[in-house]
Amino acid sequence: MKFSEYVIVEKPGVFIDPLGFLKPSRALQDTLFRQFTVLSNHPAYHGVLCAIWQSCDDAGVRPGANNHALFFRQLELFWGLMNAAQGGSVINVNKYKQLLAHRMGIKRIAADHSIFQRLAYGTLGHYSRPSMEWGLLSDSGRALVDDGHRLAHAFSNRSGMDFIAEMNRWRRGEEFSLERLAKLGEVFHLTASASQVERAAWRDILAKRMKREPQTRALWDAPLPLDEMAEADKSAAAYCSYQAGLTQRYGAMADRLHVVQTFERLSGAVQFVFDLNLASLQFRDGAELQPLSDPEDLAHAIVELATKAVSMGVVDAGRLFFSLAATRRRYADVCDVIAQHHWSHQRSKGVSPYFDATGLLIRDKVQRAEMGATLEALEHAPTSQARMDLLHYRSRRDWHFHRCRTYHDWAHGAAA
Amino acid sequence: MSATPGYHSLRDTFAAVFDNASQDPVEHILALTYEFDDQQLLNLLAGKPLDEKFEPRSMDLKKISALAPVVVYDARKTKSANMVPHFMELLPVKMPAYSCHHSKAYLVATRDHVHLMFGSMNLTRSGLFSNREVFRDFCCSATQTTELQLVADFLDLVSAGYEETASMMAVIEGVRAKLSRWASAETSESAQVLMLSSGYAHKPSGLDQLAGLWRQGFGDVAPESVFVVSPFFDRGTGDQVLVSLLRRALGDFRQLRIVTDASCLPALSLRHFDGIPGRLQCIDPEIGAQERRRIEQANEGISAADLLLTRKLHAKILVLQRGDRCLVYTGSANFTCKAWDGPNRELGIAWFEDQANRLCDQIAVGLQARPEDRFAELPATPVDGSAEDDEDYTELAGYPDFVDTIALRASGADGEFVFEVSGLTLERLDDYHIDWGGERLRFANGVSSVLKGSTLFARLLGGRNLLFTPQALPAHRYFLPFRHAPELFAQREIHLHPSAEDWMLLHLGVDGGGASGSEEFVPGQKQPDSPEALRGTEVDRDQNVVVRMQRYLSLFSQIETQFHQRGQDAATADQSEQGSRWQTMVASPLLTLSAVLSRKPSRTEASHADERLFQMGELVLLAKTLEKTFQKDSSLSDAIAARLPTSADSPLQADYLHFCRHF
Repeated sequence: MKFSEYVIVEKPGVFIDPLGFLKPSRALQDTLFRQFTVLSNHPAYHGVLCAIWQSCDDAGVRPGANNHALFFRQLELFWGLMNAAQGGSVINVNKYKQLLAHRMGIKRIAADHSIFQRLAYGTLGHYSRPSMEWGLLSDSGRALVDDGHRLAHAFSNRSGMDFIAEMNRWRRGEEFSLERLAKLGEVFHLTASASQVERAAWRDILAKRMKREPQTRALWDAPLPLDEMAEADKSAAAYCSYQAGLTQRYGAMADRLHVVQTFERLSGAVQFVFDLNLASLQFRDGAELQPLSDPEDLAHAIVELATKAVSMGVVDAGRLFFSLAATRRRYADVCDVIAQHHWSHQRSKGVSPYFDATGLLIRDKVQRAEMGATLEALEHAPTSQARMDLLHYRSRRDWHFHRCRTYHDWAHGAAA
Repeated sequence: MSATPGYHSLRDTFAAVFDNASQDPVEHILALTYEFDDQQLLNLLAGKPLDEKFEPRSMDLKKISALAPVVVYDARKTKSANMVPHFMELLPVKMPAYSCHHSKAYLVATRDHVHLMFGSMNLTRSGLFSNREVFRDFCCSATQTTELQLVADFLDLVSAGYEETASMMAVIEGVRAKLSRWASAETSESAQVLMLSSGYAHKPSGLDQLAGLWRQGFGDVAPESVFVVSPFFDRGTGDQVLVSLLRRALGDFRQLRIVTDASCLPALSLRHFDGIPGRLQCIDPEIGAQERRRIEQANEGISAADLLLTRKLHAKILVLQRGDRCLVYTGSANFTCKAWDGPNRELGIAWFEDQANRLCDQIAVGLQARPEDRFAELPATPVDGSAEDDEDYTELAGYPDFVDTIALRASGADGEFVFEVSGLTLERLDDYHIDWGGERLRFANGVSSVLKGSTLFARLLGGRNLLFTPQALPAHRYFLPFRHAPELFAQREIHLHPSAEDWMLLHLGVDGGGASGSEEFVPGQKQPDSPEALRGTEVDRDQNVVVRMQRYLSLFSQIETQFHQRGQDAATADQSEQGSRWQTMVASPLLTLSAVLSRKPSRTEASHADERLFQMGELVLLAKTLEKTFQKDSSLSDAIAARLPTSADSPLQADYLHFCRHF
């Protein structure tokens, strides 16, 4: 008998993309922090990745070989079981927990176990590309380079224990007791403290990265405090004030940050118009939503911002911003441009649009309560600027500042 | 005996079935549920993680259509369901008043395995991700034969208990064939787990089945105590409560222990214990710090600090105990007369175990029940005797229960459709506004006004229901699902391709899918191109005849190359398979393309008649070339050529038609 575990479905970075903003937003993320993706969440994974690569190298298993990803997973299992034994949480932890036993060895695990099925879902799949950007793997991702070797050994040596040596024993078929794995886990689990050597390696990796991209130095010299980021998340006014503060704080990055903010603000307003159209189709029977107050003012603001975005060279989503900049400042025309864009974007993906000229095709893509609250808030916003602030806040995105803080603290110690 | 109950993510349990689909492809899916959420159903059918916000591409819809999965549910729980695809078998069960189709079971058959899951969970977000549910999953294969009998019993129940549509029969026969291959004298074992149903006309009641199982394991002695986990109970205001029926069927047991949600307390009373000593443990609505930590770990470290986590008990467990041994049941049945001895359709499993006390304690702790006994707080009769069971039958004012079935069928030869309603008093259709999508339907003698084919293409995803709004009660809205007429279902592949270009893109694998929105990357492995990049900017392709034809010819030349390769593959297969491979890999797909090309063009395509003639002609030429190259008879090209126009509008067309026919 099994009890069902709670599944958190509110995961960051998981959303639908009816207007094609995902691709340009990723491109903009790269202008700030190219080393991160929405999947890279902890620097220790890079250490593990490099240590496993090192062990693969030691065993003569090269990337590109058919069995490389499988071999990598067999070694990653060792670390995963270590985390599970210690009570920690890593990618695939539920599968590792299933495999925990009094004695464990690579030969005891069935080749058809589900842990060997989705090989891209794990350290290799989630951290290879970021590791390439950090300069730990070669540009093709097919070889560990000098800094990768250094990080592998730096991660591996903690408290007189040698992770790679233990992993090589695992690779050769040696069995481990639960106690032994748990003891290793205390030292090497995901959030266990890094050694001074590992921190030093990370500081050098950061320094080299900044040398390659000197403009981003300011972001790393003074990463945002966690409490400031938490405060900014609390209201539209706080968020927009925080955004304005960013360009002052990071003067050398001001141009890029302006582009990012313009994209976020414009895409937020456009997303709202799209959602409102959808809501008006979905909720036209029964109690209707309150009307948008002063739609022409919103259209004016959108076209104006789109014109600015085009002149700034903001990454566009299939010429949507260009079309908006060229349209008349009338709400109906803005709606029409956005709808046309949605249809062509969904068609190019090969999926159904949410609505077409005949009406709603897919329901439940917009929540009545949220839309009602937004309309209510817009009604009471005192200025056009404040209304745009609300829509900007509504569609705020993850620009990786939080990750920057985490990685910085990992390299320098949390007190830095 | 089963192992200590542990926590398992239902998302991961389902995902494990589909993760290996590239090596062990899915062949059949059959789900029994009370209700479903359309996103979760869609994900299950497409083999995606059940929590993903997945938008199916044409290729996904085509794969689902080829799979022809079957989903059985309670007709009254039909929702708007706009993410449910066409061309899968939705079988709503119309139950008598005051009863429901409550069974829950999920069968996925791959080429090499049969996975079967029983439990308390519906195919909904809350059932899969947040409720406190309980389940067991089983896997059979050539080397895992312990539960073959359980799967066979399940198929027997489905076969006798539900409508045997073509898709249902395909599932049943396909899985039975696997079972018979895997069964052998050497591997036959006595069943460890037994299926237990209720409310199926051909079987005894659940209570009688349970009593029978008890006597199999314990003889004619009564249980000493009964342990119950349930979120719903008899109202306690009528003649019967389940405890009294259980005592009548099994003998007088001496103790009853109940675990339930604290919110269920007002619905319970001493009546529910029928005068025997009891123990009552409740589960707090708040999630404790320890459970929160466990949830965070199980979710790979995602912080739950800012999330409002609530869990409703939905598990149903019954343990009949004597000494240290017990009979354990889990499944869909609540602790009610209606579930065990009434008209509800219920389904679960039962097995025998030792260490009964330990098991019951583990269950109570596992469900986070507080240790305090609240039995002394119970009143003689329920405080809230009218408390609604949210899985209970509720009166639906103006519900169109006179409708038996609704079928979508082709009408005439012009690619148009009608809905056909069957039922006893069809004149009552006039009492409703009936809509499909945004379109208002008019009915005469149960047949709707004619719909254009293009409206079907626009709603290949969603649009699986008709909306009935009683004219006298406009605030009430009821969704009734329709079925595809068998001949329409059999021809479904034609209807999945809005145009010949879409057919070609699909066969060229351009609409590939893969992990949607994923940033996963494995060095050395080819990354799938994005569908947008592969499909190109097709937005304006229909606007310019030159661009349109260039694009068509470009795709068609790739199709020519691919079908020559297919012909080669068929020709080099084993002698015994060459004929069937030619048919499935070459002839059948090309015939579908010819059917798509010969479909009546929509109004916007009316000016493309010349192009269509040319496109069909080129297809005839390709078929003839393939037949010559691989030494086949002319049946394929003859069938396609039969779709060419019989007369020409110009000398040029006449020359071209002659060339195609005599190439």
